[in-house]
Amino acid sequence: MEEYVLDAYPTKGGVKLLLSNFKEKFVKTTFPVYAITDNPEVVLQHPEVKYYEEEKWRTLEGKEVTLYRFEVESFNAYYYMRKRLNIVNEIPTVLSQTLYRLGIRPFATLSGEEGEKASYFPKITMARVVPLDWYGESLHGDTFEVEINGERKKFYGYPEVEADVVECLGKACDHVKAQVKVRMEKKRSPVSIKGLVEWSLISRTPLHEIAYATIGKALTTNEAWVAFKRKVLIPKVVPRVEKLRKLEDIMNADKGGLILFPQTGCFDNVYQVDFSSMYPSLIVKYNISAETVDSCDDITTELHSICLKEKGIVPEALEWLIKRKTELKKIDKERAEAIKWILVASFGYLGFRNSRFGKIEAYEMVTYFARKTLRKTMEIAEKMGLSTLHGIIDSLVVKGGNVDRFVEEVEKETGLKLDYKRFNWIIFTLTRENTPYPTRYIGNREGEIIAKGLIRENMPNIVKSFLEDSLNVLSSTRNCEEVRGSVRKIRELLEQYKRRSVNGEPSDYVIWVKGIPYVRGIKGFYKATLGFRGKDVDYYKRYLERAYEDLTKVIRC
Amino acid sequence: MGRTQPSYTRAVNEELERVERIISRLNSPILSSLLEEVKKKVRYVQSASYDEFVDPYDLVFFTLIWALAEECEKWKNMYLTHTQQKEE
Repeated sequence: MEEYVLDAYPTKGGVKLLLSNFKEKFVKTTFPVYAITDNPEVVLQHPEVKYYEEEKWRTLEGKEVTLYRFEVESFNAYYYMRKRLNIVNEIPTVLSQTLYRLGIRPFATLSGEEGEKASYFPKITMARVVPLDWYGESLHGDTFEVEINGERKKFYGYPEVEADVVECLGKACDHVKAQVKVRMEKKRSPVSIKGLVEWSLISRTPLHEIAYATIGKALTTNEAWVAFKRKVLIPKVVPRVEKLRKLEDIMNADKGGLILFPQTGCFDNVYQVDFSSMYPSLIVKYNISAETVDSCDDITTELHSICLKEKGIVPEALEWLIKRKTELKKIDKERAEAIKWILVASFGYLGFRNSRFGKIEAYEMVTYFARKTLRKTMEIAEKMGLSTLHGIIDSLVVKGGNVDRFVEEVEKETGLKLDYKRFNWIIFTLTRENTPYPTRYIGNREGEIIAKGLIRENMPNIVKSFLEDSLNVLSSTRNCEEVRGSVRKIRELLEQYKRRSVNGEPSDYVIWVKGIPYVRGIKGFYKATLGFRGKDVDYYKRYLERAYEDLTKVIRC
Repeated sequence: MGRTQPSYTRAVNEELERVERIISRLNSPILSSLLEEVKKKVRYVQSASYDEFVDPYDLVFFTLIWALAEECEKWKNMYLTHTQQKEE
């Protein structure tokens, strides 16, 4: 069986490839380093710079620029040049560009050019190894939770794990055998190891260069490949000066998506209609990119204009990702989730001041079209006899009428894809000031309870467990009347949990705040990492009561 | 990400609090009950005017006019029903 390329490292005179089945390979090559300089001959004096070639590239604005591509023998020369010259095209990374030239793609075989198709995924062993302590995941726990290719096991001692790629935490990393290890404590992205492999595959970037990066890097790399293939140079810093505007104009233009305050109460038989990947789809539909906004007047709006003469870099990169996500949703949810994170970041990154391919005006255009689209959808709903109960950015909750026809009509009018789900009932609640709560609701989606803004990360485990059990009670209810009737059952559940708060398991009292586990003791909060030193039963009882009152207030709404 | 703007809802709440303070000094139960109506309606006016540029101050007073108009309509209907009953 042919091996897969798991990772790659630059060495002197070439690239060391880490392959599956614990194999390695050395490929002799030079590394391309692009620089803007007046005197390329001087650079050749460095012993590891082999030769250079002059190339014509263009800036994002379309201006022609002369670049010099220096071929260097090692990364030492690259780092040396980086300090002294104006180096450009560093995204995709120099190592990724080298592999691309060699026809090597991370997580593909050496001979194949797989990876473009969503159906392709390497046949490798992936594992996740985490030490557990009494309070949960920890760096130094003595029990280990191991997940190999989706199968979960527990080890009460050092685990025997051998895999191609392993994601591990703390001391677990010292006791696993793997060709590539990703340390969880250093990770800055919310995706799993399979998600990281997907990122590496689509970004054509070696795993070690993307494993500890933020979502932004995965996104920028994908956009940068589009620019790179078009010979558009990618500068190190993008000097972006926003044009002078009146404060009133900024307030008018720089708004978020449309958020409607919901009609409060419990509603039977409603539908939630969602636009799938609304913001990225709008970016693609209207060709929104830094270089296309305000450069010609093909589309004019009250805010800015958009040019359609050439497809923008951002829309081109996103179009492929949206298509891939749609295909992956049917094949592999975990990989689809990894792509979804990139798409989620794609809009925010347009407005980020250090973004290579962003511009605040482009960011404003996305929210502008999003507001217009949702308003139009509401108008269509009204025309077709549906009443809108709630709307938030890319989703509407509607009641009555023919939803199938409504979705069809909206898709035809807006050109965007929609998805809808039926809720047996949905509750929109009030804030403490008795005004409608736009981001909080509980609904029963055909037996599955969806509760937004009810269970928080920083609640004690026992309270989270109580709320989850209470929501389970609600999952069997079919309409608003049955929901109101379930308060008695939840009250019984509260009494059970109050008894449990007196003599529960130590892990019941743990509260995770920003990744640190705490317990509330008699003398106040203490870190669970110090060991279990008792609990303040009153505190947990009061917390449970507050959670109960909060929940029943919503139910009685 | 983009520029962070101050919360519009909070600005509307501040305007409401200002009006509430003034009304409390006037000791007027009529105005107090009108303000309660305004509080109930103000979020829906916010939803409707989100796409436009509206000063929070104007928004609160627009809602006040809406609440007054509904009150007037109520009284008008009541008066009409009353006169109709009298005629019958």
